[in-house]
This record gives sequence, C-alpha cells and structure tokens, in this order.
Amino acid sequence: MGKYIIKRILSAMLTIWFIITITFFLMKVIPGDPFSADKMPNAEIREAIFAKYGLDKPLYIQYFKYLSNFIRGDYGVSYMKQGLTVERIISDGFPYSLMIGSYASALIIIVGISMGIVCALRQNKLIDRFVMILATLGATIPSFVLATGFLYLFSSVLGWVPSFGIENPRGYIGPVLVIGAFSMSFITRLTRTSILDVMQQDYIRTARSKGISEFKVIGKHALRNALLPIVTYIGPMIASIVTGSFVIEKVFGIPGIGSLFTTSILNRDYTLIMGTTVFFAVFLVITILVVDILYVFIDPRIKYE
Amino acid sequence: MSDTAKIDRRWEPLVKEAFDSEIIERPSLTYWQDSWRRLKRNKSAIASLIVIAFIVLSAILIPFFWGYSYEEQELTLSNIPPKLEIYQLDNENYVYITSEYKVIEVTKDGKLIKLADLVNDDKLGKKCYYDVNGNTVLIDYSPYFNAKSEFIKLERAYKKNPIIKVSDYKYLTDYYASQGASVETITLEEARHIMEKRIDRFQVKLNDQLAKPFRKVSNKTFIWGSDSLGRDMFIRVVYGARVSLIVGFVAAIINFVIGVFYGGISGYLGGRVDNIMMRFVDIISSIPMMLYVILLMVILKPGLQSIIIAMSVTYWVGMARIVRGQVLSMREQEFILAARTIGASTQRILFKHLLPNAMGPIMVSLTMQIPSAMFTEAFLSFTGLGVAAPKASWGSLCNDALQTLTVYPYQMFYPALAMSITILAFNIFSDGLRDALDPRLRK
Repeated sequence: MGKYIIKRILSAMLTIWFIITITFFLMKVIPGDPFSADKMPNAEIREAIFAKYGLDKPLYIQYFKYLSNFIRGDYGVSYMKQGLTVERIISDGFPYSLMIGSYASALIIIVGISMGIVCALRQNKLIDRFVMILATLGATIPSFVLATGFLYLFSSVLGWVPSFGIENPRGYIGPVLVIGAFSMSFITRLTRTSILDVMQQDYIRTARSKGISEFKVIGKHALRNALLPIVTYIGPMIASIVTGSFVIEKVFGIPGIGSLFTTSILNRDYTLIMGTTVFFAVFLVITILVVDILYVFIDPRIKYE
Repeated sequence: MSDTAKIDRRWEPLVKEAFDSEIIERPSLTYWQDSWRRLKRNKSAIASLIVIAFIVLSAILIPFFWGYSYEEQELTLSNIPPKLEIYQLDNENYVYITSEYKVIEVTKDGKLIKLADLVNDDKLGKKCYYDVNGNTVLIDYSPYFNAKSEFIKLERAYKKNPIIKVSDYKYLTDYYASQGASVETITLEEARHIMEKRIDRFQVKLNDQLAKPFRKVSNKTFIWGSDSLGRDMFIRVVYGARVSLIVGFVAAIINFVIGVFYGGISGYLGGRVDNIMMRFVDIISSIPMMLYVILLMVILKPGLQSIIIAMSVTYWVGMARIVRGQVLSMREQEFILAARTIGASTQRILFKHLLPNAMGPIMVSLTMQIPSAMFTEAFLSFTGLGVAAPKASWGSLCNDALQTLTVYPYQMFYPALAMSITILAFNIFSDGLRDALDPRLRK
C-alpha cells in the first residue's frame, strides 16, 4: 500500500510537470503579450518592463526560471493586477469558490444519492418517473440558462434573493443550486443504475434468504457495492466544482477564482495563467489520488501491490 | 408379434405439416434491422428524433424565405417585445410605448409602422412629447424617476438610522395615500418593493387625457421581438440553430474519425504501442480541457472553424478510449482468429471485422457527443470566445441578452428554450439508441 501511494505520488508529480510544460509553451504561442503596444505606448518603458519580468530572455531560459521558482514556491507576480502575487490573488478568491463548492458538493452527494436509492427501490413507479424527468432536465439545460432563469424568477419577479453578490446569505442559494444541478442529476441516475444492477446479484438473494431486514440488505449489501462507481465520479467532480465556474461567477457576481482563468488568458497575464492552471491541476490530481486510496476502504477486494 | 407392430409404426409416413416445424417463417433480421425495430418501439426516442429532424429542417430552410436576414438592422425599432400593450389614439392610430419611453406607431393587429416624431424631450421635467398624425402623446416618467432618486437617499439614510418613516418620503406617502392605508414605518425591503413594483414606470396622456392600455396584441413584424440593434430575434435564433448544429455535427464526426483510428490501432496492435498511445491519451485527458479550448480559440481567430478545430483537438479522447476497449475485448475472439488464419491483412481485420462489430457503442457515444459539443460551443460563445457578431449562435444570443435580462427577458427566453429543447432531444434520443443497440444495458 505504502509503495503504491509513493508510486502514485511520483506519477502525479510527473503529470503536473507535463501540464506546466505544455501550458507554458502553448501560452507563449498565443499572439500578443501582457504589455502590448496599445497599452504601453512608450517603447523604452516597455523594454524596461520586459527586462524586469525577464520576458526579453530566450524562451527556454524563461521556462527553466519558472520551473526553478515554482519548486521553491515562488509563483510570481501578476502582470495585470500590479503588486499582487499569484498566491495572493488565488487565496483571495478561493474561499468564495470553496464555500459555494462545498455547499454544492454536500447537496449533490446527499440529495443525489438518496434520490437515486429512492428511484431504484421504486423502479417505474410515479416517484421514479418524476425524479428521472427532473434529472434529465437538470443534466441537459445549460448552466447559464438555469442561472439566468433562476435570477429572473427569484430575484427580479419574486424578489426573494439578491440579484448580485453574496453579501446577503440568501445570495448563496442560486449559485449552489445551479452548480449542483448537473452533477446532482448525474449522480441520481448513476446511483439508480448502479443499485438496480447490484440488486440482481446473487449475494442479494442470499442475504434476503438469510432473513435479514430489507433495510440491512440495502444499507449494508447493496449500497456498499453500488457505491464504487459513484465515488469514482465524485472525486473529480468535487475538484471541478470547488475551483469555481466562470459562468456562475459572471451571472451571480461572485468574486471567486473560476473567472480568473479566463480573464488571465484574455489579458495574457502569463504568471496568473500558470498559477491558476497548476492550482486546478494539483487539485484534480490530489482528489483522484484520494479516491483511489478510498477504494481500499470501500471495497476490501481491491489491494494495491 | 408386438415387436413387429413397433417396427411398423416406426415406418409409418409422417404427416406433411410436421416437415414445416423447423422452418424459420419470419425473415431473419440483421443487427441493424433488429435495433431499428427496438428503437421504433421506444416512443420518447422517436418523438425526440422527430423534434431533431424538425429543428434541423427549419434551421436549413427557414432563412431562405424569411423576410429578414440575421444581420438586418432597424435601429429605430430596437428592443421591441413579442407581446405589445397598445394604446388607442383614434380609430386608425394606435401606439406602443417602449420601456425607453419611445412611441412607436402600430396597426390595430400589431404590425409595427415606424417610430413617432419626437416633438419635445423635456429632460428636466422627465416628460416626452410625441406627435402621431396630429395627436400629441405625452409620456410622463417623473413619478418613477423621483421615487428612484428618493429611494437612493432613503438607502443612504438607512445606513445611519435604520428606521424608515413613511412621512419623510413623498413617493411612500403618495403610495399609502392612494391605498387608503396609514402606515408609519416600513422596512427597506418594502420600500424597495414599492419603488420597483408598485409605481408605474410611466404615465401616458393622449391629447391631455390619462390613458389606459387598449389591448394586448402580439407583434406581427417581429414574431419573437427584436434585439438591441433592431434585428429580428426569430431569424437570429434560427440562424443560431444553424451554427450550433453545424458545430455539434462536425465536431462529433471529426472526433469519431480520429477516435476510431486512434483507438482501433491502439487496441488492435496492443503491447508497447498501445501502452505509449494510451499514456498520451492519459496526459491529454488529465489536463483541464477548457484551458486548451480557450488557448486554441485565442490563437485561431474566433469563428466557426476555430471552435470546431479547438474541440476536435481535445475531445476525441473519450471516443478513442471506447473504441480501444471494444477492440481489446473482441480481438481474442474466434472470428478474428479465423480471419487471421485465412490470411487477412491487419487493415482488413480492423475495418471489416473489428470496427463493424464495435459500431453499437460507437454510435451511442457519437450521438452523446453532439449535445456536448453544442454545450461547449454555447459556453464559449457565452464567455465571448465564440462566433463573432453579427453572426449568432444560441450561446452568444444568451450572452447578449444577459445585461438586459430584467428589462427584456424575452431576448434570453427564446434562444435558451431552443437550446434546451435541442439538447434534451439529443439526450433522450441517444438514451433510446443505447437501449436499442445494446439491450443488455437496458435498465
């Protein structure tokens, strides 16, 4: 087990190195630079700034400089938001994204799994049909349609929630629901399919014929075996939800980190592009690793040698 | 004696019908015929197939005979909703008043004629005077405007002293007086509610008489209203359908071709080649895809081709994995061994034997990729990286409508509805297709 974890951590570091390299060179390929002529008319000042940030050096020197700084924990200074380090910008926005993401993840896991169980146990009954229709809608309507529809209905027509920002705690309702809608629908369907699959297995019949209560059959035998594909999905899902969403932050006016990524690319803010990409990648790689380790506890048949 | 009787019975001639018991009466069905039969029985899948066909046909055909083109602007007739509340001047003249206090002459059944002549725009008194064929139309928006500026003062005072006295503010006193209620203090929320919802945006005086709306008619000129530049929303949504559908289909087909080649070769050759090819796939899929889509979109100028290229570069990975999995599970089976024994070339085995047998899951994944490509296109257009104006896609139409959502919700409603219905139809259809092509997966 220990050996396996070390191997996985090494391969995770390799993946992150790959991501840094590809992103770095792709980013430099984009035409334009952070201090293009229309923003900075004076050529002398422009050159001085280039020299200051080391942008006048050959590409491979810039690359190795970034790598060595990265290993020492120095992620650079943003070019656009002057004087702010990349860590500072990310740590300013991340709490908002984390908060909304955690609420949404909790909602998705609790509601999604319980709905899935209910549907599987009442297969083809009215409640199953109804929830499945909702789940299909939730998985197909794009998030910005849901978000704007929510804002229009609950903010401008009914006036129950604020239309912008999250100073008011009620401002969290919209973002959490909209972010959660897609994954909640997905998990509901996944849980339902998975449980229906497990319920046909022989060991469920055996458990029933032993005379165990139905509650125990489902809770202990069916659910535990049905959980594996759900955990596989939940890991990367949490990583992507917690790192924010551009659309949601734009529509609801949240100062999170989801929009940093898009705006930094549009501004050619090189250090911030690298910072956000690596932040996302590290987050994703860690959750996948955690999920793989969790498997051992959920399913004792899995042993990593 | 009994022995011979037995023998005799054995040699008795059979009845003629008994010969037919082994005959297969129904024609044998191929895999695809059988799947089609199963698909036809699935009502929701067939319904969504009809919806998809309808949307595709209207996206292709409607622009040819519609009265407007997607880029035709009529700036004087901007932001006009599909439902009009019209006022009657006399028997022949009717007007509609926009939320920007403009007066537009309309016919009785809702055809837009033109913008009325502005006689006097009294910015200080918050009044506009228009002349419609000799009739004067006065729009007085001062009550709402004054209430709004009073509310801003009220908000400021509220921060110092959180008690709102009705008697301090004229618009609140007027409102409660008209209601016949006596209220002394109210909350900030109530004050906002009265300002936003209870006070008319404007009053209309026709020839010095206060007028009430005559009736509600639907807009006959722009059936889904017009946008901020006075373009017909209907044709823009139809045109957006063209863009979204082209992106969906082309991206799915390119992904299909790349994915089938890559996955097929990787799965069939196996061993070291497979290992290297799959590590490459792992690396591509471990990178946040949106990063590469956005990066490529910035390198290639925004437009239809670059959206498709950007998506093809990154989205074939899923297809490659599915094809590889299928090929891996089949290549050890007897029919492949048989083909190899006869001396069939690798190419022939791959394209004549392996891929046709893996077609079921591939088709399902193909139909699932169409809505997901449309999703991505909408997202890109929504972030401003999609098709450039004056071209339109459903995502960019929604993005344009976002700023004015509270005033002109219809501009968001139609493209959002069209997109949701299309994606829903594709999803239901691909679910049905999966059940038909692979009945084992049916739940």
